[in-house]
Amino acid sequence: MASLTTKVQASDEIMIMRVSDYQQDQKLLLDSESRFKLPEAIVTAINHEIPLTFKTEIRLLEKNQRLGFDYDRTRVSIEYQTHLYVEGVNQRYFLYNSRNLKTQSFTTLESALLTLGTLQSFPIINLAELHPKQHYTLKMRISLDHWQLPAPLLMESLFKSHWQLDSGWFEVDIQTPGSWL
Amino acid sequence: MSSKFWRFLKQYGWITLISGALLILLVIMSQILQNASSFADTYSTLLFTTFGGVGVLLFVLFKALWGLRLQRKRNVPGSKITIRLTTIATLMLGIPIAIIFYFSLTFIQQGINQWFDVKTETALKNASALVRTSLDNKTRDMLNLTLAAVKDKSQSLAISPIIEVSKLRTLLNAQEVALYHSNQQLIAFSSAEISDALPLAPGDNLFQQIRQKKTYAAIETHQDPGSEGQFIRVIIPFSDLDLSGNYALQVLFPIPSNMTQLAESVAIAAGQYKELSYLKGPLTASFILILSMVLLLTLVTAVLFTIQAVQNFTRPIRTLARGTKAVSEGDYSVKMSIKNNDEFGDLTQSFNDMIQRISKARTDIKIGHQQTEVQKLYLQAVIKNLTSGVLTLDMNLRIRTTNDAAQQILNTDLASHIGERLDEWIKHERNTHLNELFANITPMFKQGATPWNFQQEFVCKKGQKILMIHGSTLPSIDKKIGGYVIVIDDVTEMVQAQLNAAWSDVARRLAHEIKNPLTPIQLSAERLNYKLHTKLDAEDQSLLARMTNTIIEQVSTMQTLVQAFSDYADTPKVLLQQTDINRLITDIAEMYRSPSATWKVTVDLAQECPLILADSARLRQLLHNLIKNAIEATVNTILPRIKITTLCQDSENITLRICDNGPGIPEESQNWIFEPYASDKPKGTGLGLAIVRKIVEEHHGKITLNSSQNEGTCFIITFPVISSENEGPK
Repeated sequence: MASLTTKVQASDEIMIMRVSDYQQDQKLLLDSESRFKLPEAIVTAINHEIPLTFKTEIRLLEKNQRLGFDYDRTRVSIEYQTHLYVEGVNQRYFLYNSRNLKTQSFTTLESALLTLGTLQSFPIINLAELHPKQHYTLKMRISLDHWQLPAPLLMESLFKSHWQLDSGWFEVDIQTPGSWL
Repeated sequence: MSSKFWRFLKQYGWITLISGALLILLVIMSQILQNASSFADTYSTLLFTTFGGVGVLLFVLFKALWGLRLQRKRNVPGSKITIRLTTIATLMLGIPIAIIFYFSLTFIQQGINQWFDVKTETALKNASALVRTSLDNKTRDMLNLTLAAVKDKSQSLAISPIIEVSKLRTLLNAQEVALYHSNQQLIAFSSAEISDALPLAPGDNLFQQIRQKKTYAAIETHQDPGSEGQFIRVIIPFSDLDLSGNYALQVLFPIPSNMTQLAESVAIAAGQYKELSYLKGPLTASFILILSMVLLLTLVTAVLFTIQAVQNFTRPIRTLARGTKAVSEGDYSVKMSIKNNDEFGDLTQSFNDMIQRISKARTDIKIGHQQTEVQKLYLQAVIKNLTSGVLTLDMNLRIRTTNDAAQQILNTDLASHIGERLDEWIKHERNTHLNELFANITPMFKQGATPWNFQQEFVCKKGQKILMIHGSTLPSIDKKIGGYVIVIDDVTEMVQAQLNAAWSDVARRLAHEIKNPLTPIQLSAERLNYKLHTKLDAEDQSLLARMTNTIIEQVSTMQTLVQAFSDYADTPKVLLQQTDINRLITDIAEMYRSPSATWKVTVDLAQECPLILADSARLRQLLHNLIKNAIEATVNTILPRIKITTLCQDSENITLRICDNGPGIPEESQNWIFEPYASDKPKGTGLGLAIVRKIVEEHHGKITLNSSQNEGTCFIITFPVISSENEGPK
């Protein structure tokens, strides 16, 4: 499926590399890859067993027009959190997904971040709910939810830039195929 | 009690409420910080709520301080003491708070530093390593055990997997054994738990590892919500040459719960220690922030309480100040409310009583003053309407009051000289005629309180007057003499009347005593001349004739004089009748027009003059006397002129003017010209003008004289027009 992509980058620490959509079993699915390049201070915090919470936001917008004005109607809004934490005893990194309530363990931080940044066959919406002749935009954003940090870190996270991890919105224009009909 | 409570709640309640709530929030925040992760999501809410609350309190404090500044600028009572006490309280609180803050900072830093030491850290690291080593060893043991079993049973597993899987689970004392095909298809499995319908399948990544002929052994945690604890997963790939198949045997070994618990406790302790060691800096900063907030809150609350308390304390002062200001502006109706039963309440009550008494006294004074004013106005009205002149002087002989009569009698302006000293007022050029009078009055003031009076003749431009002066002192509260009062009566008319009466009496007696013998004297003189004329020689006849003529002439003169006396003394009843005064004047003037006369009599009569009620005979005499007087006055004038005019300017009076062009009457003679025997002419009875004045007075008229040196003399007579219906003057 052909798609137009627009990249809105907010910081280099989290970079959404690719977002692609495709259809399967009358569903719109999403694959994406993101690269994490966490600052040393954050890595240190992780290794000191400071749990981090990443927020993933996915939105499907439908372009509409009313009374001559263009506006975007949000058709789908998905938001979930992924907790990244370490167990020092067995020196393993864990990812807990609040959407599917599953935990995955990793021996290295890089592998955990790779998994965190990878989405495969992520269901967005049933095709029956979309209009083939409408124009749709898929937006994705990954950010560190610093409000979920331990209380003592809250003030620091508000005023220090290395805690401001945000990929910004990554937008993809979906070209609607006639086969949806 | 109830009202005091509500008042307290109203004044201090909101400060207490906000401060209390903020303190509770700060306590919760400190607890959250100590537990690090617990309630962390609410920490931000509490933090910003606290910031907001402290901001509100700071705003309120700033507003209160700004209000105090404005009050200080406006000099609001109590503002200075409020600022002073607030400053003192702030210093008294601020210094201890600063000291406490310093020591608390030290204690926080020392306390947090004491949480961490090298031994504990090393011990926790070692414990973690021990647990990890122990678990690794167990995992390795399980892997080796499974590898040995697979080596022995690989063929039988491929042939009869169900039986062998079950035997193998028993042999290995495993929790679960499952045999998979390399394509992830489950071939057989055996579980210690009967309820388990399916094995705990390995993930796709593990199957990928199996296909690469790699073994897998790791400790994993149950992810199912119902399952607890950890287990060891071992996956061994193997191939069966006979069946040409690739298989994977998965064995799950349970880890003893005591080992798991110990490992978890070590993991938790090590994890918390690591977390806290990382959070050491932020935690210290957060505790310092909370401490700062608590102390700031305490200081702000204390200052706000102080301001409110001092303002409450100074409220009665403000109330009293408002009251005194109102009183100073003349408002004595102010009554201040008393809210406290303390000394300030007593003071306010005393002030209210004092104002009430002052107000009452003021009202009494006002009423008294009004009564005095009324009395004064009454007296002024009485004095103003008195025919007697009244003049009051103060102790320093300054003119205090006067009335119109005084001005009229003294023929001067007194009203515009109120407050002027008497001696200075006398010195004015227009008051020279008063010098003699006040030269006699001034010494009388030295007589003290004894009333005095005297009569004095007074000469001014309006004529000669006879004044009766009465004097006395005025009372004073603190002094014996408060001033002087002079009452001046013009008794000229009264004295004149007395003189007229005396003259009339003299004239009557003269007429009576002299008139009767005159005729026999005259007849005797004529008879004597007649009888002796023929008996004497010529020389004696001539002498006799001269002497008898002299007697007869003198008797005739005396008869004329006696007749004049009689006319003056007699007051015959005036017979009023409608009289055309113009015609009367014309008739009489005609009598004095003679070709041989050296004078010229002219008339200028107003034709519109009405008839008047008058005695024509008496008017005739009046005209004769005045014309004769004018002729005699112009005897030395080259072209004597006598002009008689009438004026009827209004319907109430007729003015008659008889003017001559004689030398005029000297100013000093004008005062007594109408007096009997006042004539300075060699001839005449001296009663002509006196009779004229008498006739004028009989007709209720008024006569005035207008004369100046070398410009002639005018007698101006004003007669009232008397209606026929009412014969009295209008």
